[in-house]
Amino acid sequence: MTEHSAVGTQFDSRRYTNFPAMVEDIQAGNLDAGFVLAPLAMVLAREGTRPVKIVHLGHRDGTCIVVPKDAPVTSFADLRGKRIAIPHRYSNQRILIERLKDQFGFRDQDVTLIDFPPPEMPAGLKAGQFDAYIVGEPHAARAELEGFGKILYFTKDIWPDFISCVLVVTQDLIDDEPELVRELVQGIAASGKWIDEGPKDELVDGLVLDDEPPSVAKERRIVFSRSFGTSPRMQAAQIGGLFYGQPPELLRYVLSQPPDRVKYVDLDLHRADFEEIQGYAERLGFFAKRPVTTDDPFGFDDYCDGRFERTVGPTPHLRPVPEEEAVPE
Amino acid sequence: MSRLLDLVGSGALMRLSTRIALGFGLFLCGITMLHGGLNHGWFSNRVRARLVVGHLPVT
Repeated sequence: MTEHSAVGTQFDSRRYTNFPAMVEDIQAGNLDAGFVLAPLAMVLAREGTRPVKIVHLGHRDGTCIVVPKDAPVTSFADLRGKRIAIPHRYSNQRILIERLKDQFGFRDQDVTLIDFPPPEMPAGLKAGQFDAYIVGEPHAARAELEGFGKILYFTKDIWPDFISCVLVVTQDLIDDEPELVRELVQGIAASGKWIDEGPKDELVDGLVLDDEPPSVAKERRIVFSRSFGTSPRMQAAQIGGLFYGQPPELLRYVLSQPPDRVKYVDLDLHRADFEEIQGYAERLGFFAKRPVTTDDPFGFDDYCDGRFERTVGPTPHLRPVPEEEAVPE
Repeated sequence: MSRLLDLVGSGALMRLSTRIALGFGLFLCGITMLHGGLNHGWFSNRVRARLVVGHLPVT
């Protein structure tokens, strides 16, 4: 996400460590926009005290199932009788586990699901608090890079184009500031397009290479080494490190090993994707407080508003990657 | 009406000091409005809304 849009609006990012805290802020009127789990967004739209709408996706794929490196686990079948940590009971990660349970003929009691804050999952696995976890990056890659975890499945291989987090905004914001919502959505779409399809020989505003001449202003900019890589994904790793509070090297790994581990294109809302998620959400009782019935229906148009994503915003400001100066012999 | 204007013009209805005070007040009012208008015209494209977007450190 860019901090300033092309027309100068300032978007501030606020980092949370768990979803309930963010939901509480939305419901209390302290937050009007945020990235939350897709089924949780549906539940908020259905049962929340402050109505919200999904206006765009955050990304596709980028979720993994992680098990201990030395565990004799090669397929989901080996997780029978085990404890699996999930990021939230209303998460698409939980729905994926339910799909796998169906696929592998598990009964409900064959696995125990534990709600666990995503940033703490690698430590929880290491401490033996559970036997596997499913989470969005970079918390799967962290266990891999620290040497105690291995990836059992990438979502791209078992549920292609998996949806984890979606962008929700309050109905109040849509009603009061539709242009602001449009600007945010189009900026996110443009950033995603730049990450996955942007020019490989241009640097985005705010990034400076450490070997650039002293005449290039480096204050209040992210300075990084040319050897880190200068493709849009590597630049995104530098920027993401700042917003996520994570090491850029970790994000570089996430964005490149393999490159299709997480995708930032095709982020528009598709009815079929959400109807599939909603089907599972209803089956699992996510709408228990207000069940979906023929007398009280609930569907795609009640929780999604796709009118802000019809066009992509302007490309971020770019400048050519400066030539590397020859090192004197 | 013309009688009233005659009274104002002759100073019978309003003393000179009052007229000066009122004139100065109008002058200040005009300057303030001009300043506000210029300010708005100059900065309207720069001072934009802010929006806070919440997220977890997770994709």
